[in-house]
Amino acid sequence: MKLLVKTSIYYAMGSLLAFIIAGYIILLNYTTIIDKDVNEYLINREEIATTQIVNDIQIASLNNYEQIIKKIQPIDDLDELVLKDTSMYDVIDDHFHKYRKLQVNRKIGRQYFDITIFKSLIQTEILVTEVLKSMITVFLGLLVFLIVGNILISRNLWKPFKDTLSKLKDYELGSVKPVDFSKTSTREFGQLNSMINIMTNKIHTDYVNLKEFTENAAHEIQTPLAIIRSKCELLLQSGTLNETELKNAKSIYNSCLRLSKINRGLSLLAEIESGVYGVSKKVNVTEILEHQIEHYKEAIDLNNLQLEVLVENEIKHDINAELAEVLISNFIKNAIKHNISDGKISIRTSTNKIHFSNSGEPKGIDKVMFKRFEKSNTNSLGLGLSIISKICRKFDIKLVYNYQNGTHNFELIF
Amino acid sequence: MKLLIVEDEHELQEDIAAFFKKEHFLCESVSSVYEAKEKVYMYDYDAIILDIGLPDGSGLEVLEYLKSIEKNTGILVLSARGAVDDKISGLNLGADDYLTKPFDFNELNARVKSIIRRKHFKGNNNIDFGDININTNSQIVKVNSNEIELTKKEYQLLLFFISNENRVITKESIVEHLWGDDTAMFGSFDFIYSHIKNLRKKIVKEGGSDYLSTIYGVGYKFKRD
Repeated sequence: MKLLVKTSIYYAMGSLLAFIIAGYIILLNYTTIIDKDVNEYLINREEIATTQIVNDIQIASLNNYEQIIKKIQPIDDLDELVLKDTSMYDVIDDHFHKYRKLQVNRKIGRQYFDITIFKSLIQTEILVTEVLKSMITVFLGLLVFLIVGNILISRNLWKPFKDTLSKLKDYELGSVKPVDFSKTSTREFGQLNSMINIMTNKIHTDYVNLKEFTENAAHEIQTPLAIIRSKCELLLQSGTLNETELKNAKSIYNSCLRLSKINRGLSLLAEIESGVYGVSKKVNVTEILEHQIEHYKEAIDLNNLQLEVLVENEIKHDINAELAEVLISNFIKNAIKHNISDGKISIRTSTNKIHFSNSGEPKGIDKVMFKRFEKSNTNSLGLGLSIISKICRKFDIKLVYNYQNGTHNFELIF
Repeated sequence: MKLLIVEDEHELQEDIAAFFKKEHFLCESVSSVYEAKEKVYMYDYDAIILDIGLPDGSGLEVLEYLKSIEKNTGILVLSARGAVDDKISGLNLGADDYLTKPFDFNELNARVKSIIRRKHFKGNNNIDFGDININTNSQIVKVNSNEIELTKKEYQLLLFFISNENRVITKESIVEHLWGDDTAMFGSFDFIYSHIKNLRKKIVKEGGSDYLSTIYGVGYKFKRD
């Protein structure tokens, strides 16, 4: 949920609560005042009526729809004012309305009177609804004002924050230049920016250190490996070893070879990531493809595989030529390696696609195979596919894979 | 043949020197940019094996220096780094070839010999090995004066064998020589066997001797009887 929506909801809820309380208090005050007013009015009217009876005015002429005076038998509870709310039928608009009634028994001269005075409360009700109406109007108006104001203010106020966000989005870990935040007069955002700056600087140095370490490690490992390899070779060439010793030496030699290949593969991955390889505009990928096919033709032949090539379209892409070569040769080598005996390899192009397919074991490649060291075959390093996917990602090439009827299909979409 | 080895790792330097001594080279070894510059200034070499990472600088400085004193020596750059920029700047500065550590000695041997061939026998690109004759310019191979038809890889294989006469050559180094780094990409190296069988057949068919012997479990050896 957007911050703006959230604050608006809080504002609305807060003001609603305030209005409810305020409305309740106002209503309470109003009703008390009106109540008192009505009661005073009734008492006043009763006094007038009593005075009129005392002055011998005819009762009949005193009676009207708001005032009923009756002669009654002598009773005990005299001069006791009883105020009561009641409903009465109104002939005019055919409705029951609320009335307040004052009833009192008086003894005037020798005669006992029951005096009842009514006062319609309709006015009070109208007043209350009117007050509520205007309050709701004010409430709604205020709410609209708050929300609109909030939106307008936020837009301005949060601008540095949005700015920071968009800058962070473009931030690349490997890039040399630090994030340059625009100046802001809001202290909180200033703090945020400086914290982010400190953080990215730290992350950057950590990253650079780690990268340097990896590069150095990869580099330093190569020399001892070269020594192991040369010593092994000396052993192999010495001619004095018996068969078992020779086999052991060979095994050391092979492991050393494997280690250096893993090392090289990992360095390659790291180098692709850190952008050592620049991009050239419009590299002729088809040419590289043809060259690589030529390069592996004999190996394919010697592995008893059938090769079907249909390369016609000229594909050009912004890529590093060296990595394009690595990419394509990895596909061809994979196709050779993960094939069945007397299998097939087919390489086709269309306007912006290269299609590699090869017969293979009925086992599809999962997503995880594109990660490092995931392999189906103990002979491989498990880096081939991860190098492929890394190069594809780096140069915006879409890679599609599927397995159908015993054929692995890879499609590169440029 | 005079060879200068510029390498700061002493063990490796000694191994390379020992190796090329067996191949009848005259070897001199140095382990810094300074010494290397001194040597190339004073003497002429047929080839230089040049490491890039040296204690007092980059091997590339030696390349620049050679260029400035206008000496045209065959240079093979050796680097622990696989980085492309090293390779490119090395080749741009006039290196003839490039090899990354750890390397295969047979490969190093073949490449050094190929550099020397290119640099020094401009008029004569013929290699004679028993009854085999190879013209490295036209890439024509003759056995007992009869031309034989070899595929590109078979030709490279034959040259590789001849450069490494009398040495044990593993299947791995053959694959590496023919297809580059990624030997691990091939599931098995058995197909090398048919490759070699084909080459052998073509030579023997024209009455050539079978120079190739198999060393069980290890590889092959190419030698004169």
